[in-house]
Order: sequence, then C-alpha cells, then structure tokens
Amino acid sequence: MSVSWDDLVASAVIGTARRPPAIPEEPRTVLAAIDQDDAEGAVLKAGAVLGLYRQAGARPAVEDSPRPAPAPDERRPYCSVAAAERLDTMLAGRFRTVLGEWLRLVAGAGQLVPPDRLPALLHAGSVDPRLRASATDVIGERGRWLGGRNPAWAWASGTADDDAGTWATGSRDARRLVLARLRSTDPGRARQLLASTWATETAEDRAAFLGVLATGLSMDDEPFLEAALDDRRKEVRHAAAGLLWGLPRSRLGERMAERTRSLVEVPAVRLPEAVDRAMVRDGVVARPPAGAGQRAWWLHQLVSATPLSTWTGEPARLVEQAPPVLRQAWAEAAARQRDEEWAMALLDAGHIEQPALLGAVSHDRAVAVATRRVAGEGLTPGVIDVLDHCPDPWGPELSRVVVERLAEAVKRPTRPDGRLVGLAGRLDPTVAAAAVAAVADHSGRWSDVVSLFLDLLTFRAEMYEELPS
Amino acid sequence: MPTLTSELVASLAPDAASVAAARQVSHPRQWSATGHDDRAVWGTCRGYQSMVDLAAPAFSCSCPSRKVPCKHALGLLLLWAESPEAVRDAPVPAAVEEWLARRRKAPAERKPVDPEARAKRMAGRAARIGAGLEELDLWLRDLVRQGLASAQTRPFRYWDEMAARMVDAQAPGVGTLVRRMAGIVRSGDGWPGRLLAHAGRLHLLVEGWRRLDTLPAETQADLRTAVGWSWTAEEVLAGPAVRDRWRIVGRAVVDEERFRIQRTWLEGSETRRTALILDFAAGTAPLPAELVPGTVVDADLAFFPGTWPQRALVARRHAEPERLYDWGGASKIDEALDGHARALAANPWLDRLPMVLAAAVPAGNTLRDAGGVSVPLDVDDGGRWQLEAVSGGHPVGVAGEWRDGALRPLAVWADRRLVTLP
Repeated sequence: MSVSWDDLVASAVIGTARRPPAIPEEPRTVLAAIDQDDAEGAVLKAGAVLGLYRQAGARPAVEDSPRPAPAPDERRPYCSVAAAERLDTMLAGRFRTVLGEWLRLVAGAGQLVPPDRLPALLHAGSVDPRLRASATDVIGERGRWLGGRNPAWAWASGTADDDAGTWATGSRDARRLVLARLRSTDPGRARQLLASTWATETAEDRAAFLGVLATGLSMDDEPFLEAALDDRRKEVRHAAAGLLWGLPRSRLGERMAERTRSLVEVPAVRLPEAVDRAMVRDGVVARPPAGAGQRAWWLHQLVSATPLSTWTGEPARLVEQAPPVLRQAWAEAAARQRDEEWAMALLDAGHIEQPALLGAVSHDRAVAVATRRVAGEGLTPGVIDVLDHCPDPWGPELSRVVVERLAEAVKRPTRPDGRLVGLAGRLDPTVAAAAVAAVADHSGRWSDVVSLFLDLLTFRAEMYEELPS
Repeated sequence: MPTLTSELVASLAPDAASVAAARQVSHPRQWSATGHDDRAVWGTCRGYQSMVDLAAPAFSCSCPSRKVPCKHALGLLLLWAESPEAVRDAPVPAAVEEWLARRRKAPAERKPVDPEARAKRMAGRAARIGAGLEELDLWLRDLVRQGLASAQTRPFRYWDEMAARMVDAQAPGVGTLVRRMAGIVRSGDGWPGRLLAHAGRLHLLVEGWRRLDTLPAETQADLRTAVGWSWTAEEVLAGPAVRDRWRIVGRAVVDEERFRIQRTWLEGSETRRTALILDFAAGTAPLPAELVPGTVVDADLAFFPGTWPQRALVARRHAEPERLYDWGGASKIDEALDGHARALAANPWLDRLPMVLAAAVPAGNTLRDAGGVSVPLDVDDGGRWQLEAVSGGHPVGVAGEWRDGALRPLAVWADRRLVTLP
C-alpha cells in the first residue's frame, strides 16, 4: 500500500526519534529527489511539497441544497445619496430623535431606503420598536426579505404575525408590543386576548397591560375595566379606575356624578366629609399629596372623575363662575374625557394650567391656542409646557412666532431654558432660514443652546429639501 | 479631481461615522474664509483651518482630530460639492500656498550611492539572515524529531523566542511565520497537518537561502520578500511598469499594536492582473487615501520583483480617478482558485491572495457561484448581513482576500455600485 499524506503527518506527530518516518512516493517527480537518510529533512520537505499540493489543489464541494428565493424587485425608487447619508447620521446617533420623522417623509415621497443601509435601520428598529411601523413602509421588498432571513428582524418580514402565539408564549416585552399594536388596529381583539389570560397574569403584568388599553379606549372596554376594580392588587385597581375616569358613560362615571351632585352647585361647593370604601374602589386616593388640603383633594378627585355632562349650562359660563378648585378639576376631566367644548371653554378663559387640554381639542384650535400663548407671554416655562402638548404639525404661523420669541429669549442675560433646543425638532422647517437670521448673531452669549437649536432645525430643513413631499 | 459629488466625498472618508460628522459641518453658515483654485480648496470652520490638495487628494486641518481626512476637511468638500456658490474661485492664502509648496517640493537630492559599500551592506545582511535561518532549521528538525505532538505542550514563549531571534537576524518575515505556528497548534481539528505544511515551507525557505545564488532572479526575490527584506521605492520604480485602468476593488485596514496596515487591492480592467498596494501608518498618523474603492484610475504600476508579482507601487497616474462603472472578476470560483494554484506553484510563500468574483450569491457564511461551488466566508455578523442586504439573494460581484481556505469579503458590487464592507 502506498504511503499517504496522513501517514506522513502521523510520522511527524510521533517524531522521527521514535520511529523512522513514512515518506510518500507520489508525486515521484518531486519526492524522488528527497534524501531518505536525512529523516527530519525528508519529513519537512515532503510536508512542504504535499502540503502545498493539497492547499493549491483543494476544491470546495458543490452544494446542491436549494438556496433561499431571492428578494423580489422593488417597485419604488431609492432615496437620494444625500438623503441616505442623512440617515447614516441619525443611525450613527446624531439627531436620532428625527429618525421617525425622516422615515415618514421617505414613505410620503414614495421612496425606499437603499439596501446597504437596511442592516443598520433594521437593527435600529429591533432596538427601538417605536420605529418599526414607519420603517416597514420604507424598507421595500429587500427589507421584508431580510426580515425573513434574520430572526432578530422578523418584525420586518411583513408576514402575518402570530399574535395569539406570541401572546401565549412570548416575553413580557413582546406580549406588550403585540397588545399595543393590536390595540391601535383592533382594540376589541386586543381586549379579548388580554381577558383570555387575565386570571393567570402576575399583578405587575396586569397593571402594565391595562396601561396599554389607554390606546383605543371605548365603552366596549367598560365591563372589563369595571370588573378589574375588584382586583386583588392596588396597582391594577388604580390602572382600571384611571381608564374609567376617561369614560364618562361608564357606571363609575354615574357613581361619581351621584357623589358630586350633592356637593357642587356652581358656583357653590361643599367639601366631602369622608372617603368611603366605594369611593376608594372607584380610584379615589384618601391621602392628599404634600401641601394639599385633605378634603379639597377629595373633592378635586371626585369632580375630575365626574362626567362633564353632569354640569348643566354653558361650559363657558360655568367656568367663569366657578372657583379655582372646580376649574382645576374640570380641566383635568376635560383632558381625560377629551371633551372639546369644555376644553375650549377652559382654554379661552385662560385656565390652562392643564396643558393636556390641548389634546382634547381639534388640531387647528390647539395650534391657535399655543400660538396665542407664545405671542402673548413669550417662551416661559409654562408656555413651553403648552408647546410640549401641542400636536404636530405646528405649521408656519406658530413656528414663526416661536422663532421671534426665541430670538428675544437668547438676548436676555439669563440662561435660556434647555428645552428650547427640543423645539427645533418640531418647528415647521420653512422657518429655518428666518431662525438662522434671527438668532445667529446673538450666538455669543448662549452659543451652545443656540447652535444646538440651529443645527437641529437646519438638519430637518435640509431633510425636507432632500425629499419631495 | 473628478467632478465632486457627495458620494465621492463620502468615499474619501475613513469610516461611515466620519461622513455623518462631516454632514454636520458642511453648511455654508458654518464656514468662513472659503475659496478654491484649480489646485486646492480651503476654508475655516469653528476656528479650524482646513485645506484640501485636490491633486492627491491630501488633507490638512488645524483641528486635533486624528482622523484623516477629518470631518472639517470632508465637510469642506461636501460644502463645495453641494453649495458651490459658498466656495468661490479666489487667490490662494499664504498658509495654503506654503502647504502646497511643501507638498509639491521635489524630494531632496540624494547622495549618490556608493555601489561597493552598498554591495557590502547587502552581503552582510544576507549572511546574518543565512545564519538565522540555519538556527531555525535546527529548531525545525528538533521539532520533527521530538514529534509535533510535543508542540501542543509548548508555552507561547517557545514560539515567540524563536520568532524574536528571526527578527534579530533581520528576517522579520520569518519571525511572523514562526509566530503563526503557535496559532496553528491551537487551531483545532487537523492542526498537525497544517503545522507540518507550514514547518515544511519554512524549511524550504532555509534550503532556498542556502543556494540563493543558483536560483533565478525572480525566485531570489520571492525568498527575499518572504524573509521580510523589503525593497526601496527606487528599486521598485526602476523596474518595468504596467499601465492599465486599475479598478480599486477593495480595501482592508488592520490595526497592529503600534501601527496600521492598509491593503488596497486593484484589478486591471485590460490586463486582468491583480495588484496590492500596501500602506503603513505609525500610531495615529493618517493612511494614504488616494486609492478609493469604487473608483478606477489610469496608472502605471511598478510591481515588486518576484515570480508572481503582487505588491506594487503607483509609478504614475495618467488621469484623475473616475467612478467605477464596470466590474471584472472570475466568473467561477474554480477559475479563481485555479489562479491561486498557479500563484502558489510559482511562489509557495504567498500567504494572502485576492479573489474577485464576477457573480456569486452570499447566504449565511458561504458564497456560492452559479455552478453551485461554495466557499466559506470569513465575516462577522455585520459583514454577513451587509452582504445579504446588498445582494438580496441575487448574484453580486465580490472582492476579497483568500486565506486559509476562506474568503474575507471586502467589497460587494451590485447595481453598478461598490459597497465596502465593515
């Protein structure tokens, strides 16, 4: 039998001191010249020659296992190179907060993210689930294909999610995501899913999942929430009551109305004597926060939870007559119950210590209120709170007023509120040039705040220019 | 400089984060004292003075950044590319003129070489290397006498000391090869065969060096390269040059302890030859950025001597680089491997070989050609998914480095665009 490579290696492993080596004869043309008497030299030379033969001659195997089907062709164009580089900036961590807006703009322009940027974008979506909905609109066929290849990006695959399966076996975060997504598309189905496992959930999960129901809340949820008021755990009872306070036609609402009708006759108010067990069941907290009077606190909660329809008369007139304790409670009620008429009455009367009221009125009205406040008072901390609650898009008028007031704020000797920088993320991008002109020359004193603000605003303005709307 | 586009500017950047950072300093309002002529562009951003020599291109900036080009220099080019009205034709400021003059200054006249002294120096080094290699041979023979099995119990010092002796003997290339043996011993199944082949090749080096004078000049050069006796640029440039439209198909940058190595791979569109441009930078010094993957340059390359010339220097550029619009490469993996076999037959000490494929489909950790031939990929997760994203399961062009039976992909060609891999 002829001597093989394996025999030669075995000889080398054992060592020529123990055993004379086995030196292969083929390929004869080269190996015949080897001096067999020099055992170590023969092993090394044969090792060099055959090792090289094997290396040079190695051929990979032919695979016949089927390859995955390739990604279908795209039907939409890719965004421009400049737009893609802007995406790189955000994925690298700068102006990351603008990423969601960028994705929506690209989708609005009917464009796609180029393939070489997809891994970074899909990774970002895996880390931050809030990006997923807008990302799925711009990843195209290629992105969906990658979602099917990489389990970490499965959310992008576009295949029907196995909601029931995830709900049954997924992690807490995964289940919460399923619930939140379903809640925004099919609230009833989400509630049924939650109800189906309610009895076996931990208290912590029950409270967390109830919080998700705030999206798409309706009277259909009322029986489920009413039942949750008798839960064993306080956090769960409170979460349920908090939701029911926003449903004026609920049984809880009726009970609250019953309680407050005997206490309030606008403008007269009588403070409650005590908190009973039924009130506690409906979410009333007996212990006041620091600095608040106990009985005034009880009244505040009862009125906040009372359906606004309980109060007969024009909201505007009632607001005018009411003492502050009632106005504050009504403001909270109007925000929770999303009652536009009451919210406007309160806003018009100038009682908006409750900026959340802006969420209860139409978009146009919210922007008009915010514009009036900014123009009238400048960018005070209270007004910035209002702007925080003012829904997007702000439009050029509000944006222009904000820029004017900002130019004043950065001229003052006191350091501007750091939150001003964030406004640049929401202003209408058409005011960018005006903003640069208005504040650029004041940059000496508060140049850090000013340049952050201008960088962010300019970044967004350029982003809009790159993408046709 | 070809017509400046933001894409071209991005290709000059050392990494993606630099492009992102450059975007942030590319706005007209951030720049002052800008200008350009047909040689250079300059400007001041946040107090830093940036200038770009358009011929090379080369970069200079007064900022403390270690990256070259820094974000300011890139930002300046982006500014010029996207807001040409912000960078006007202007007389060159003194500082820029000085810098350009320094850059263009002809290298100082060298003292004429005394051929006799030089021959003596070289003979001395050859003898020192020879003595070192004899010592290595005794050590290799001892290893085979004791048996490779004993190698597994050796401490790292055992290999490292021998490697250090080779460096002392002015054969640093052999030192590197010896140090690799420590890794082979720990490389898992089949290590004895790999170690034997490697030790055998070192022995071949010793044998060759003993009768160096009797070998053809090219083989002498192979041996000299293998022991790590480098060539001066003058020696290389004195040889014949190969003119071609060289596609720059990939680039690898490796961080060593105290320096960085940049390997830029070129493929001639006419000659189909491949070439390697090696650059080194100590510490944080910049690596040259003249050859940008995804571009093509009409140039003369002077190859280092050897039987299978691979490493080269750019002797002369006939035109500015242009964006790459066509791709070459082997149509089959076997064709590329046949080329490697020919290379190894010519020079058994070749370690890393380029592989450029015209069309193959990446999936997971393998790359498969139309015939079903499949090679393993040496990639991390980031590279793997970047490859899959760009290919989408369709055939794509791939350029990379073949070593130890696996392909490390460096760039992927799809939709007439080259995407470099991390």
